[in-house]
Amino acid sequence: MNWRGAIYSTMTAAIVMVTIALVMHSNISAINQEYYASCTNNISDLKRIWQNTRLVLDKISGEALADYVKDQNIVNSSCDASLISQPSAQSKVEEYMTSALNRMMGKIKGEVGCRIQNLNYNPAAGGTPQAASVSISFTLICEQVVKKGSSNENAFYVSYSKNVNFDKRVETKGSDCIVVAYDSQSNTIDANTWY
Amino acid sequence: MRLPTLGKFEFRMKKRGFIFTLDSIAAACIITLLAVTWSISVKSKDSMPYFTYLDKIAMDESLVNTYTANFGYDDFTPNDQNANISCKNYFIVKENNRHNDKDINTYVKCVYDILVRLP
Repeated sequence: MNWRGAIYSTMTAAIVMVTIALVMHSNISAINQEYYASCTNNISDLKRIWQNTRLVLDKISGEALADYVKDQNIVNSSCDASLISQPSAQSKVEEYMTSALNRMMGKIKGEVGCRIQNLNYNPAAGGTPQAASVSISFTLICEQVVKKGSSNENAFYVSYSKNVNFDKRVETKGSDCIVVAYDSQSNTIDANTWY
Repeated sequence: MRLPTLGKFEFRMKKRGFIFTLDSIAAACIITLLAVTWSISVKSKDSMPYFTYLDKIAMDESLVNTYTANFGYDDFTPNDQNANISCKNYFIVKENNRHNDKDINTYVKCVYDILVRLP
């Protein structure tokens, strides 16, 4: 038997196998690095969308309260800021928020979705026709599909959720009953029905 | 005295082993050469010290398109460039200029990156 040939053959076969293994390993590592970089971008982008959504909902809840009080004052021929304690005021806030979320998510590319969970609408006691306050708290959850799967179990989602609290104050002013909604946390005007 | 059949058999084994060894050495050399060439070329593309990074930010997609269409406005002369544009939507509530106004304004912010290879 040719022992020298067999040894050479084994050695070269081993070299070829090691070389192929090294090349495959470096290729797989590069692919993995690219995939993880892509995931990192998705996570930071999702947080950006969450923050943008939070700011929009903050402003739109003030808009909803001002519009609600204005509407009810016209219907009731009154000028009463404490109307924000009515249950239908909460419905108005939810309606505005849902509408804003739908408009925003429809314009974002990719499978991103933000939703509101566990909304608590707590009007403060002692509201007067001139001024009334309310605290709105909820969990804002934003999710993005990173990798689709055949079912929800093997799909990969990035999710970012955090509790949000808005403190609003509504005031009525003057003989024309101008309704102004303030953000109590920043003391800025959210909406002014004068215009 | 050796049997002729046995001698013939031994000769064939030697020849087959020799040819197989030469082929595998050649294959190993080619594969190693390709792997080394590939790894060197990938390394030279990925090594950041040879590149500089430039950002151009615009609030409007059409403005970014202007930039991409005309590099003449830029004050550098890249000899190798790789442009990437990514645009993202930002939202604000439309100013309450009328009752029941709950519109959302959309702003597009685009980032225009050029990867430039230094001479």
